[in-house]
Amino acid sequence: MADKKDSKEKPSTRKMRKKHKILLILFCLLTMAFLRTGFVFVIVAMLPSIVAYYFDQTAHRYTFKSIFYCNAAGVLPYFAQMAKFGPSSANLQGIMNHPLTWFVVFGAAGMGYILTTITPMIAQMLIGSLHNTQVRGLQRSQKKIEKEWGAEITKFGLEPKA
Amino acid sequence: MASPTRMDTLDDPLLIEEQVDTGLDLLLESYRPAYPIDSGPKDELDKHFTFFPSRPLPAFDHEFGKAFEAQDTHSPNKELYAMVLDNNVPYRTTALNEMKGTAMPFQVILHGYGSVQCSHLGESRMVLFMERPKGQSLADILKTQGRLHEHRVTDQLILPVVKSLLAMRDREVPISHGHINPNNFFLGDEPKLGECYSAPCGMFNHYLFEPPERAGAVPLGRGEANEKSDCYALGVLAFEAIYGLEKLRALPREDFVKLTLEIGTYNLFASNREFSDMYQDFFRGVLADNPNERWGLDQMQQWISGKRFNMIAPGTPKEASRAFEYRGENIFSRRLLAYVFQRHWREATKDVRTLRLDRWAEMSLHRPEMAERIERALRIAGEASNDRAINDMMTRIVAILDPTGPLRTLNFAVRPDGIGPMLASLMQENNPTELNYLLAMIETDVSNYWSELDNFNKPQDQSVLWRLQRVRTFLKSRAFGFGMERVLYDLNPTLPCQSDMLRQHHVTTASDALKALDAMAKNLAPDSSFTDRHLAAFLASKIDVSKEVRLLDLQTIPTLANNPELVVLKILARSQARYERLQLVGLTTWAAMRIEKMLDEIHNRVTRKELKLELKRLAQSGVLADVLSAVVNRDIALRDHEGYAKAIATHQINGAKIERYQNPKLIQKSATELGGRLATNISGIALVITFFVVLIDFMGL
Repeated sequence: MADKKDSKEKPSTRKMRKKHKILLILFCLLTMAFLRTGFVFVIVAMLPSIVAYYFDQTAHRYTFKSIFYCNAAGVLPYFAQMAKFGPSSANLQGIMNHPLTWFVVFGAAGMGYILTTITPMIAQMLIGSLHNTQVRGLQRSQKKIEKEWGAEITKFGLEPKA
Repeated sequence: MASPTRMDTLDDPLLIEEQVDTGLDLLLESYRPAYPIDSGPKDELDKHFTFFPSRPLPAFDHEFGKAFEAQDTHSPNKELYAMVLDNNVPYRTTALNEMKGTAMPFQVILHGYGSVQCSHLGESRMVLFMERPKGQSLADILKTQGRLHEHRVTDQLILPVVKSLLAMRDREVPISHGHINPNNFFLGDEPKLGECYSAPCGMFNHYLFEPPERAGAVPLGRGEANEKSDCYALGVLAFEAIYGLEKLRALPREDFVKLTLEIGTYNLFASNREFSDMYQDFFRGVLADNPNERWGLDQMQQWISGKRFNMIAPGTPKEASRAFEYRGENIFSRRLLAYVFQRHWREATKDVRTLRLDRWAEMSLHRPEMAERIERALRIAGEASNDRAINDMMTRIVAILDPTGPLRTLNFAVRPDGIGPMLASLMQENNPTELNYLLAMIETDVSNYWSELDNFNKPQDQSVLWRLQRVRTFLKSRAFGFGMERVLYDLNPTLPCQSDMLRQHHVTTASDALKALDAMAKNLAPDSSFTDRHLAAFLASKIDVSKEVRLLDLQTIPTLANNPELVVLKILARSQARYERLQLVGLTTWAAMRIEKMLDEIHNRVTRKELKLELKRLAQSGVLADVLSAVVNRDIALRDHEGYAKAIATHQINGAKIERYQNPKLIQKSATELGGRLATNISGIALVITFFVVLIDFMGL
């Protein structure tokens, strides 16, 4: 059952939804219209998210989402700067020539990637300890049942799963 | 689920310990039986009669009893003898009850009887204390002194015996003698007829002293005698005293029976002999073949008082106008044909369908009703090929031909009221072949069929036929309290319990059985089981259990619901319920010890321990039903069954949960899922915060 679900959740290639495509095209057109050459900066800055999108083929695309959100958070101040001062080449050059810009943009994306690596480990620790507590409770209950009804009760096992 | 109180107690490991000290051992050890056995005086009955095992009297012994010198402690001058009876054959209780302490004319007096502990046997037996007849037996007199004169026979033999038989007939419950023969008639100061109660009727009579309708039956299967058979025996006794029986005794039994059927009993005995006028009537009257025409005691009395009957000499029994040819013989008598069929049973069963017997009955015997019966018997059997159906058909056909004769089957013949003693004997001998034939007779209810064939066919004890009909259903059941053993006790109400545990104590009532078991508890508990078919059947017969005893309250625990020992215990409890004041702590403790083991079938260990600890209190009540209630309890059984099912389900579910919680793949999967979600949420929050910060800055706020 679980395997079937996994196979459903992990297709070899996932196509973008139509709605998302339209939104992306609309966003690109608007960015091109308002920022003109600044659009190139957005595309380059969002490159980690684009890469993550193609690499993360899981059901929920948590890695892509995390990198995208962080990447977007890094791009957003520069995007606002370009929007504020208009689509001037000098402004764009100033942003793109500054190393801090790329450090912030790609660093934010990196932070997203680090998050997706660390959080499962933390979650595993949490779940493990929670399960251990639950198992101890169940084992206590099992012992009580065996004490009251005898060891022969352990002879009855669940039927093996198909 | 268990109650909170119970769950609290679970922490105490001692509570659900498997080995529970119930204290039943100590209770039984300290118990003194209220009704002790083997503790009273030996060889003594009610401090009144004593017998001396060291002084046997072999002259009075018989197959089922040994005789010893005895003494009446109240009147030491009386000459008594004691008859110690075997425990495996019924004796004549009705006769015993009627004759006890009664001075019958010319008959030995039965002074007392009862169960006595016999020192030489080490067990209890029924012992009869009887007057010791003086003088010599007629057999000895005939050997030493030769034959007697007719007048002496009339005065010293016929007259006293008839008076004695009349006195027996006039009792509140009329009884016959059934043991009239030269060894049981004594001539001393006065003539005395010997006892007749220590064995089934006619058991020790030579076949010459039994009328044709009884002589054909095996000795144990002759059933109760009647006044006509007693008169016949008296006639033969008189004949022997006057003329002797040497020639007839020399004849093989088969030849004698065949000759009586061919020429008639009177003609065989008379054999061209000239009787005196007086005795001619007598012998023609008492030796009549047809029991309906034979003299009874009334005619004997009239004959003694001088009445002459001018009896016509009976002719040769030739009933058919044309002979029936079978196995090279021309047979004119239907009774002879019945006898020939019996002698060649196997061949007869093969031939009978093709013999056109019904046609002979109609055309030659001129008995259309007989022909119809034969035709019906053949038709009902049809083309049946199994032994049981064929034998039943043959038994019926032989009974139709000779309706006053005994019921016949392969190897033996028996009268309906002799089936009980015969069954007791065959079970004792462990003779499966003849036992099967006898049981088949009971199953097919041929006795009731036989009783309708002739007016004479009414046993002395009419209830026999009713009992035979009733036990058919009991015979089919294999449940405890039923089956062959139940039939044995129902057909022999006076037979002591044949259980291995009780046989040596001569137990004849349910109350005595319970008391004996109570007294034996110390020696037999806890290892001896109550699972005993004889014990169950004996008690079921005494308290008249007519439906199978089932443990419906325990249906949820199949091992207990089908436990035969519990069924026997339930029968014991029902028996005890008949006697309100009978408290049997020994028996209840023994039962509790047996039940303690059965309680292991209860799954819940807390309930089990509680019940085990409760057993001692219940056993102390001395009431078996209370002890049984510990295990035969619908609520407990149901609660245990449901609780057990629930516990299994819970245990399985918990096990599955534990397995799931400990599965590293599943943990990994959940962690990946949760981690991804966490990372997405954190980065999403960071984006939202950045967005608002940038927006505020953009707006110049």
